[in-house]
Amino acid sequence: MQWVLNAILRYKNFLLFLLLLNFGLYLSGSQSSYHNSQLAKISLAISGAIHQPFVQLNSYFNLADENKRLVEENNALKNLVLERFNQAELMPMESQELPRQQYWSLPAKIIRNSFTQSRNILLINKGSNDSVVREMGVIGPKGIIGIVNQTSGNYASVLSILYRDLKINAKFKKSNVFGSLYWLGENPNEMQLEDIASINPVQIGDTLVTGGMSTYFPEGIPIGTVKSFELPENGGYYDIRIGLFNNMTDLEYVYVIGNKNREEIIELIERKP
Amino acid sequence: MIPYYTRFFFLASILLILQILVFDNIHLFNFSNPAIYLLIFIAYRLDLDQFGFIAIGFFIGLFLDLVTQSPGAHSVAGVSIAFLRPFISRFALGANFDQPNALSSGSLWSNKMAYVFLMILIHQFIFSLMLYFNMAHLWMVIKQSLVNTFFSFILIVASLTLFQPKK
Repeated sequence: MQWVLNAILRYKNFLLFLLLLNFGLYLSGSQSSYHNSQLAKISLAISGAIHQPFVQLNSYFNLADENKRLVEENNALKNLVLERFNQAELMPMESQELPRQQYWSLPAKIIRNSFTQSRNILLINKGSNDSVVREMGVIGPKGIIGIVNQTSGNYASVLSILYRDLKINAKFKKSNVFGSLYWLGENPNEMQLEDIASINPVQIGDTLVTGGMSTYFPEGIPIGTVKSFELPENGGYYDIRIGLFNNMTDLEYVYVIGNKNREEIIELIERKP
Repeated sequence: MIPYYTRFFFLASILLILQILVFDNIHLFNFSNPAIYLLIFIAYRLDLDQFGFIAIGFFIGLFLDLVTQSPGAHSVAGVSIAFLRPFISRFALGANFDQPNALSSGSLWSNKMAYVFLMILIHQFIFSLMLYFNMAHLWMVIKQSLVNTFFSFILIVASLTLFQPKK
């Protein structure tokens, strides 16, 4: 018995190291369940509280840029309204009724943005108190940003589209061909599009929008344009690089997108035949 | 005289706050953050008990993991560097490896630099490896750890030189 105690005392540093290392690896290895756990919520609350005051200070210095961006966005929206208005005038009265609004949006401010890691997470200052729930889509002034991952009372963490294991359903605006979009982990302004068969014509500069095949994003939210593409000699699928519209590195304000029919859709998907 | 652990705690808090609020917002070449908080691991007195140091390394890492939402990577890197430190200091500092003042005086400049460099490089390598967790991205891991090491090294050597105790 004595020698066991002696051995433990002798190698206590190594044993402590192994114990704590295992705990660290456990945190790392069980990423999805880790994020689900209570720990993630505590972490979110701490993280939000620490970053919030600093961001408030910092945002004063960006006011001029932010103003410019808002004017640009306002202008784009104004054009959209005018377009609608013109169409409405040409259409007969009975078809002017707008479709039931399926999506609603909520403005939020980014309080922490990382893009230097392989799995990037944003923090926003809206949480479950503002009826933000998991798996809502988040878009920026120029296109998609990510998906809500975890919420606490006043904050939410968002899986950025720059998150290596995240795949997003996307389609070409002109041809409606669907593919899936993911990040390679290198350049924060560039993503990879796969599953586009070689029979479809692709050109540099083609616009990519969200496909609407999931409950996260409405159809037609802009993502980016084709930057370069190549057709592997043996494969029947393109290898396409997409340049993003949003500059993921200097985001400040975003919109959380809620889907009113989300529960209905999910229930339908999960219902057993 | 203020007790060592009080001073250490004070210094560590300042460095962690600096790291979270300032250096994590510096994105060099869009993929690198310099790590000033490694100064905590480097400057902790070399003659003190390692058992406590391993625990400190883990909790600093865990705190950073919680704040930066990076599951596990900081904890694993922190606990590993705390465990490996005696080997690194023995390798780099030679006979002075367990002298309390080995970093401020008593060692050759080149030995001190080797110690600082190895500490940062090994920590950053483990950290990037944990972040990517995939051998397919080994080149990215090496690139990221080298660039991070380079800038952190400059920062840390500069702060060590600035805050050197007067002789």
